[in-house]
Amino acid sequence: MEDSDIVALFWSRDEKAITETAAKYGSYCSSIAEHILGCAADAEECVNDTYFSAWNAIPPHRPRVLATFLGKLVRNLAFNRYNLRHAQKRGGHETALILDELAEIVSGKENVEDSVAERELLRELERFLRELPQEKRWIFLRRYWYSDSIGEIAKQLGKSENAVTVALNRLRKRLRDDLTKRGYVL
Amino acid sequence: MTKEKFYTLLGELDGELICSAAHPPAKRRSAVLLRWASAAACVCLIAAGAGLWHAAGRAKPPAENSSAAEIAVESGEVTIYYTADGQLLSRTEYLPLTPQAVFSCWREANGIGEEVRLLHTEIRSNGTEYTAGESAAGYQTGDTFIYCITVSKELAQYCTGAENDPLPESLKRTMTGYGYINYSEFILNLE
Repeated sequence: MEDSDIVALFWSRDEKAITETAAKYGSYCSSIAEHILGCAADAEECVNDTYFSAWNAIPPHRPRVLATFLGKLVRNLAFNRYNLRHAQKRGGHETALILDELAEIVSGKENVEDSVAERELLRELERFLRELPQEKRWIFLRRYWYSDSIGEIAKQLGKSENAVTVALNRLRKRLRDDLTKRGYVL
Repeated sequence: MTKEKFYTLLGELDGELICSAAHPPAKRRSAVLLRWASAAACVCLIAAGAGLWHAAGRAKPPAENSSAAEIAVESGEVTIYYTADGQLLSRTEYLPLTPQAVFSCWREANGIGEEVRLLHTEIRSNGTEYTAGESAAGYQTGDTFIYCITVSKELAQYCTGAENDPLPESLKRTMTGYGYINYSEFILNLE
């Protein structure tokens, strides 16, 4: 079923919207949630929460690209759940590694960033990513948006894990330098 | 900023960027292989061109299943134009050089849904209408070319209707910017 048809089901409050969403995007959402949480049972709950959130959000929303809409929902929900579990010192090993990598870019200090400054920073991040060669951009997004493991990224590209690790190191440094040059001290 | 907040901020990245990472990038062939493939394609194009000249005259369209057409369905760097905050931006993607593949990438880059489809492409040259297949190979250079495309009418809902709407311009630049032909005109029909 086309995305527009699924969105139309949500708008008409037809519960078939959930089954069609699950059929088309269930494994996509599960994959994101499992990468962040590292636990299939938690991921399944998180994906169910995602469908529920989508049900509540559409209408009034009318997402143009359903995959990204659901992806953002599941990523946020999974990360909230990760933070809760992390406070309880349970699981999420891959996410802990990813956060440690991102710590190389930020200071770690609790700043009071307003939403306008955050939007500006987001635009800078998008510009940085768009200027990257396609493969580099793909590696960055798979690691820090989809939360893929280094091994999974390496396998998809047919490269060694070491090559991907080195590429990510360089990308983080490049991003930090780029942002610093533009006056962002995170 | 804390690493957790930065991770959360990354979650807000533009949907088009996220979509672009949904599938692994196409693998590039080595430069040596690419050079040989290009050379082979040139030889075949010359041979096919000469064959067409003798057999059917200059104005005949190339056979879509000819060897020239098959070889010309290569992948390559394509400049994809897209709009962001009312501005026309571009990025380079490595894609199959086919109208459908380029259109799909343009659609994705502009956050346009799958309901918008490329229905038909056509190249008009010197009064002759060719149905553009999966390749533009075989056309003679030095002629004038008009690229006409038909897109499903749902595209209209993404356009502002303003005279300076950058979306149609991004489509024009994307669709006419790859391949071997310099188009003198671009016609967009909605159906």
